[in-house]
Amino acid sequence: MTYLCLLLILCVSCSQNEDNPGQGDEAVTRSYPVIITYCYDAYVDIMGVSVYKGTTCKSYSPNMGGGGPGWYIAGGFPEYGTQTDYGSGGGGNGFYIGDNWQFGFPNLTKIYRYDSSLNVFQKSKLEHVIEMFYEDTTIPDYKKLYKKLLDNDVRIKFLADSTSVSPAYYNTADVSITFRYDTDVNWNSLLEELVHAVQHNCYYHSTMNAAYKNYEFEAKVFIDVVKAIAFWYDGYSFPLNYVTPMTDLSPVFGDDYDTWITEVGERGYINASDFLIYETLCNQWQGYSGTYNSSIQPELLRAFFGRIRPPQPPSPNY
Amino acid sequence: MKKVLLSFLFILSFCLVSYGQIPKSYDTKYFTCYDYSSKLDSKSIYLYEKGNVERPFPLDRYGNISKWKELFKYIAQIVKKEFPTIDDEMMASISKTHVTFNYDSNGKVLFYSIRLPKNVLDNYPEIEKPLFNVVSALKEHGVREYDLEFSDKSKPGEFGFILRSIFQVINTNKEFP
Repeated sequence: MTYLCLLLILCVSCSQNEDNPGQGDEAVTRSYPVIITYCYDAYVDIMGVSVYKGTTCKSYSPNMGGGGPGWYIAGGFPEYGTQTDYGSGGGGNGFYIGDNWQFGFPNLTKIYRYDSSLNVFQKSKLEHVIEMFYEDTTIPDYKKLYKKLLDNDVRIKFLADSTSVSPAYYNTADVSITFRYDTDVNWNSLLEELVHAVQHNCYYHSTMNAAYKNYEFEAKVFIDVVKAIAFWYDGYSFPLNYVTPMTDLSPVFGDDYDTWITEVGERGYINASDFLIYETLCNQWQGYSGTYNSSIQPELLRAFFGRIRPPQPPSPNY
Repeated sequence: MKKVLLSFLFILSFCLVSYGQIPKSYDTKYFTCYDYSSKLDSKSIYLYEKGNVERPFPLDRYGNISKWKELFKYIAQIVKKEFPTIDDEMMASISKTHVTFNYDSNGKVLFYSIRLPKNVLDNYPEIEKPLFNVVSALKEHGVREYDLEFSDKSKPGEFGFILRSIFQVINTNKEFP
């Protein structure tokens, strides 16, 4: 569907000449306002697919000035963080504040906090990524992670900051996730930051401290272990890109880690011996500047993978 | 005398550390091989393209391949061509072979590595050639057509697969959606 332009003339402009005996032959002109209403559909391009996001209608009168056909500019109003956006911020022929765009983000709204400030394009991408947590083909442990946030009614402040040095980061101080660019609103970035959100809000709370690399390591290992178990134990088939060795190019670390993660994947859970090696690997890992603290227990990993479970039937799509 | 003894101990400890950390490297017919089997708790070797053993630094969130299922199908085609007949024993041995490659934002393959247990190459030296043909074909083909998403085009992306998953695609003739 291309954009809809509905021209609705409520009242045509007219001039009348009426005989008026009281005024002799003098002509009387009466003007009626012309009201033109344009309705536009807004589309946001999500990964090459045009997705309908809402419709706005706007009325104006040429006789009274203002208005004119406009267009929707996604991302033009970063100051609005709620589900309702109000136009592209003025200027030119673009729609402006007061146009009352209505957008729907049914999944995002469950974790999106009121003081977030993503624009419509970013929110649309985020909604698209969050939809993946509901898809049949998504690995169940990732869905379980996301459900933890919903069950605990965790609301996250989503922000965008092009000066950020990292594609995305989670901040425990205000429970926020900041994306650097629009392109960073993607599955890989969101997944890792949501792992941090679960670590913080469901397990470690105020003790979570970025000065220690334990948390960063656990988050990356979590993503890898989910993949490894789904692959080796549950019979899923997909690319195996482990994220942890990508952050430490030491071939010795890479080999130790690959050996460990393969054994965990084949076993289907992390046993006591695996956790001991995990501690060694965490200490050895140079992918983050924080220090290793041996007293911090990997609670997220223990909760998710600390016990045996039967294999999950792979999704029919895999 | 004490100084000499201390120096000796230092050199000895350095050698021991080196023995545990630095892999033995040598060229095979098709690859440069890094052998970690001298390292404690490891039996792995890594095969690299000759003259291209420095892994570029990928960043874990860059260079996503959207159409990875299509790429799997392509890899399955070339693996099937290179391993037309394979017995169960050999299949079990080589199925854990892990291929990792890095590519730029144009889909050009910059680097690859193949990780496999050392005994596989010892027991089946003939697999070197088909493995080489698979990675060479992939390198020549590139990954441009599989919809790359790069956050930072100056950083390479990384993609990895284990032969077992490719054999699954071949054996079950599974069609990805």
